[in-house]
Amino acid sequence: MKSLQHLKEVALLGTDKKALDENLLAEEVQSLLKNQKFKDQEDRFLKALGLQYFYDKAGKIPPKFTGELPKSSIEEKQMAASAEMAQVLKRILLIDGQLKELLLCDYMDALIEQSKLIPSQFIIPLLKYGKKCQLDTQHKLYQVVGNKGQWIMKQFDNYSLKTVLKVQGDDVWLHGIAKQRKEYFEHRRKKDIEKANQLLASTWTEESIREKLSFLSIIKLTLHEKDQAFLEGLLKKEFAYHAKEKKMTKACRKTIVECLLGLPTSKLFKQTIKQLKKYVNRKNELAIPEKEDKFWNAANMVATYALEEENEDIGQFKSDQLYWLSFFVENIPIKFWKELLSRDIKETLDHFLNDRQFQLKVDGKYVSNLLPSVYALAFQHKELELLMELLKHPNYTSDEAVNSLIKQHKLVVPSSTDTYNLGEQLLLEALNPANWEEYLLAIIKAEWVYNYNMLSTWKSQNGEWSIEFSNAWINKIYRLLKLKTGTPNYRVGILAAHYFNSGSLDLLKAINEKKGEALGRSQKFWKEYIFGPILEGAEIRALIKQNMPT
Amino acid sequence: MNLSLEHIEQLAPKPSTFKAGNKLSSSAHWQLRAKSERSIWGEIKGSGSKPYHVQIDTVNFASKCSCPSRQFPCKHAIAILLLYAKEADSFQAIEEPKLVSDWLDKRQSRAKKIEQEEKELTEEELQKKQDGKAKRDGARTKFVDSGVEELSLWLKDMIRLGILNLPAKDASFFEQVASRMVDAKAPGLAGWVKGFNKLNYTDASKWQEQALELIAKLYLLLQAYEQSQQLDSATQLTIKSLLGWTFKTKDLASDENTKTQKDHWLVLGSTTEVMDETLTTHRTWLHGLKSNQSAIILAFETKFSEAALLNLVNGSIVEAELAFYPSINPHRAFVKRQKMLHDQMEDTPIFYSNWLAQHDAKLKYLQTNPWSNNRTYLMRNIRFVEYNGNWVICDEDKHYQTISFSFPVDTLLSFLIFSNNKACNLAVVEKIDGFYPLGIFENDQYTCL
Repeated sequence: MKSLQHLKEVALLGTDKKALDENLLAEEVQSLLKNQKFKDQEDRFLKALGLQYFYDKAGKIPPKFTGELPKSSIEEKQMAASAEMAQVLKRILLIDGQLKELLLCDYMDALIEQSKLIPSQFIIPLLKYGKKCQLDTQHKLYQVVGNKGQWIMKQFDNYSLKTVLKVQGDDVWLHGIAKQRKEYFEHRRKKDIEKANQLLASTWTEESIREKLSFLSIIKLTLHEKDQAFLEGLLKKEFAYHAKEKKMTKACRKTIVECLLGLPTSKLFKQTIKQLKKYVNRKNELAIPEKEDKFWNAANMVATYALEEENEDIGQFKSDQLYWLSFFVENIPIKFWKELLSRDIKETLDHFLNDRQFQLKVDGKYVSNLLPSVYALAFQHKELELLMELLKHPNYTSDEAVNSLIKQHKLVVPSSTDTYNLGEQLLLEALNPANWEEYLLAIIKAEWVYNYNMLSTWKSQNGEWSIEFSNAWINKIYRLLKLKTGTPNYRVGILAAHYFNSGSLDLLKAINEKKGEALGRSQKFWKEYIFGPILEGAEIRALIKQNMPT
Repeated sequence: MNLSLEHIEQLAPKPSTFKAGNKLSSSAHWQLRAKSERSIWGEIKGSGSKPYHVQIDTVNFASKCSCPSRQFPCKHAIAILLLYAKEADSFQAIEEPKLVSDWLDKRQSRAKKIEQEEKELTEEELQKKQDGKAKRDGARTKFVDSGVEELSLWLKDMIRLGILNLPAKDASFFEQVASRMVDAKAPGLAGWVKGFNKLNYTDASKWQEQALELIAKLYLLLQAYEQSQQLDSATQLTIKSLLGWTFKTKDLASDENTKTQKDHWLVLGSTTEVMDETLTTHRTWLHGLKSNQSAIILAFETKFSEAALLNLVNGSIVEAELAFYPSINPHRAFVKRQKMLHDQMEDTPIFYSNWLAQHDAKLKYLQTNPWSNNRTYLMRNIRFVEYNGNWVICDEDKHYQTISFSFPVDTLLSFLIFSNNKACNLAVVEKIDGFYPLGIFENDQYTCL
């Protein structure tokens, strides 16, 4: 190698500046050069270079690795999906846009259900794609890439999913960052509340007050009767009221109270109902005193319910008492309000929302003080009866009402491209499948079939539309396209591709075959954004079912 | 014909064509789909009043469609192939319509006609043809001689002044010299000169070594050309070929001296390299399962012409006859006849047991052809190992080779997953800066990654 180093030095500086010293070349090369004739010194150098280069190349055997060769391979306990399923995955990956992720989730759900893994050739492309997907998709992906995929994620940061630590067990709980721990706790709560609570109890004393509030908020969102003892214990000791209570401590106590008011067997719930009963008059109305009394007074509200001493928002509540009442309406399940007021759902709602004592006059109109709380109650406890009743009244779902609700409760609202009633959307998300379909089919104005935001509320239902709904939807959208009424949103086809019932495919094909041409200019839209995606989506979902029967 | 989605994807001229074809690959889009022993065909509604008629030659792959697309195969041909791959049973086995049978018959007769035409030349015509070629060669030699002389001087100047400032040279510095080589009818030399633009100038230790190798080989080539009269005809042809002498496949196919090889060819893999804005080179490597002959097929694409359709799908086994370009150790080839695709690897290829064995084989090639490159090697029991921050390919005796700089990280990771940290049998190509893995052999199956 010294020879080549010398040649390199000469080449870099040039033969004008540095002469070739043949004595530094290999002996064999030297002897070969002796028999050669050279035109000039550059010719001499270039020939020497050629000889030495090939001489070195021939003698340079591959280098030796001095480390340890890996002894163990990465074993998978789960089987990979079949070759047929691999082809299905290939088809999914060919799809563009949002439908790809939706179908991929269906595919992964089927794999997870049967404890199967994605074929190994797809691990890298999917890890790359997964980084751009929603958290839930990434979480599913993590479960189907197997040990090999997880090994790649550990070795190569670029391929690591956001959720990588989320399901890596209790290590995350002990060593993860706050966000990961919260995600992990929520994930565990959904799987096994008792185990999740044990985990929380094991580190509770070491948690900061901020963390405690976060975990209590998660408990509130996933509330279960098994939480009662833990929460009552906290309220009795650690978060018992005392005069110089700090802001965060009070926030924790308030969340605990909110939880306990949702648990009918809790002491606080019973005690509160007992008090509220005293204010129900003969007309079955809730008569809130205008002045403070033994129950409706600032000291009691602060000490027992961690509320503020006085109304925080005079724009919304005309009295302190009404502000405190909104808290009870929001947290006590509707079933108990009905019992308390001896009214049915319609009457109860009418009382809360239309009784003058609970209303405020804004710009000459009466606005209910309690509507945001009623909404929050409907979501918090998934009160189906309440949701349906709210949906029946457009004034309850008006943007004004809902915007106030969003502001007050900091709800996360999906970005909207359609002009759409947000309240209706929020309520639809909380409905069950039958009610959801019933509600939509009852809408007279046919443009709802184009409404992406409205249709996307089905996502919480986790399954296909019914045949009846699919038939109705496809017939309606065909009719609208034919009449050229309304502005079609191409994204509804993506949703339909994911939710359209395969039992309605014959109708879809028949419409396409027999009546497709009658659409005229709209035919392109129909083919590209309705018929094509639905067919592709339905075929893929059918293949998933066929190859991975549940 | 047994094609997977991956195979059809490779047949598509562009990824967008494959995607578009995939959208039309549902049976609901097709008004007719049928098959015979040598073809599949169908009708699909397009934007025109009449449906498009698509037909595929399944024996010697080719497609034809009545749509106005200039892509081959078009999205409709891709769609019918995908549909056939998914639902072959849904294709009715019926008698070929005249449109289909005429096209297939014409294709077959055209292939026969080309062979016959060549055979039918009289001795006089043949002599005339050879004379013409010799005359053209003579005229060209004069140009090439001047090009070789100019390039020798240029190299000497470079060495006299030193190569230390090569990284500072503008790309046009080399482009201009390359253009003069093209003018001198030696496009092969132009390619060698352009090689200076591709050195890894970001790493001082690498570009200096790569530059020395390039200079050494190029000067050797120029010297060999100058003294080629003293060399045997095979070596002369090898040198001519390296300088850019083109050989028409039509001439080679009809030349009795052309080396041909009938075999079941395993398509080991392919790469596409954009040389500069004007030229893209597609390389496809094959390995004869019976003969153990390796071959490379090149296809070139410019702004104005698409690469000729190869119909060679990575990982597939093609029963075909290859004809090799003249060389002392024939490697570059073209498909003379292609019969059918095979699903199973009936013969096991011969593997090199370790890197030392591969090194010996490489030396044999270098002894006869020092410019030999892009050769494939089938390696037994090797594995990917991380060493000093880089991934290397290590054999059982712990000898290792580095992986080419151009090898994509994603593919490396796929190899890691596929080989599962275990020793595996691998097909690799030797490039100037290391080895480029193509695929893995496992249980008589070859997977191209």
